[in-house]
Amino acid sequence: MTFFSDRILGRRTPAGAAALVLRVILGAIFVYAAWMKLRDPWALFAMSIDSYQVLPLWAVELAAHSLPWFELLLGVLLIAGVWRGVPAVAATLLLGVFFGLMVRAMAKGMQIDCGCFGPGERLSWMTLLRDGALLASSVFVTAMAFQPRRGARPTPVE
Amino acid sequence: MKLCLALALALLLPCLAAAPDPIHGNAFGDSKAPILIEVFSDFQCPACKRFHDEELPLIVSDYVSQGKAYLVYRYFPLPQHIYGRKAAELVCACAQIGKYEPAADILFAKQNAWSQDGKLDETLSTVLTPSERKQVLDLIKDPRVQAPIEHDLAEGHALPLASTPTVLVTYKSRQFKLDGQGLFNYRLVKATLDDLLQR
Repeated sequence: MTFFSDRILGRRTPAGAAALVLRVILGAIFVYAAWMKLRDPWALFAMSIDSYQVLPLWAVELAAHSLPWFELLLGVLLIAGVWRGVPAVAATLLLGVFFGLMVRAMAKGMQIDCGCFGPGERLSWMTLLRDGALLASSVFVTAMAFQPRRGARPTPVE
Repeated sequence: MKLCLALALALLLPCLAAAPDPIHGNAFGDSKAPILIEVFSDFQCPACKRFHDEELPLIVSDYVSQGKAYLVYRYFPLPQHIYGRKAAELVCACAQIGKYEPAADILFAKQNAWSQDGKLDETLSTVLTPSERKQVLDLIKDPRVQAPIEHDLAEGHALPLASTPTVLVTYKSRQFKLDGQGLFNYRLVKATLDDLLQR
């Protein structure tokens, strides 16, 4: 804990430290979500996507094949902290799309699977709340990723 | 000795507690097939009719007849369907005399009519001989008919089951619940079953 607080968080502002922790948590959640989908037949996830009734079948199949791998990549990049701005923006956009689709489905009264962590989880106010919290965290991480780092040299002004 | 007795009792208790699955006449295919497919359905539900007419024949020809899947029909009459329970009782009674398929087929085929007038008995009589009809009517309140329905209802509620039809696929002790719109996309159902069989 001393190593973690001194070496990892020590030189950061409280907001920077919070962003770091949230980035790693978001990354872990993306990796977990990807693993939950990849361990099951891809068509089960395709059925979850199809139940939202927004994409044609070819796009449903394409998303079911590619989205879990994209989530895995995103999760690893978030945890590793490489190209901090790019994965943070991608995570925010992805979570924004998920949240929008879930709000739409809830508003339409659709009783469907959320599809968030593979099949079997019903879309509910709890899943909406959870996705909203993840989206808010991701927006915060994205905003912090574009903050100049403490101690960074200011650009010289002529 | 006491330890052995306690251990034996502990191992035996779960077996005694689990009620036997009263499947009779409503299962098709090889019971040792790698995939178990359980269809929770209500004879008065329009989506169940669609699944029975469009998807089920494909599942039967591609998987059940090929020995890849064992199909069990689960009686799950929904409370909002006034003739759902009676239909399940009649079909379950028909299953006891080996007439599940013709009974289920005719009830789904004439669903629109009997859902309005409730003439289930008359609808079924077109596929039964007079003596079979008498047997079926005598069986309706029999535990051999009531027990499977209660068992299937309890199993469905325990899942829990949100809608009908719902298909529960079991493969190597793992269960996958298929329901909603995706169930009517045979391409995706087939992809799921093929993927499982290749593992």
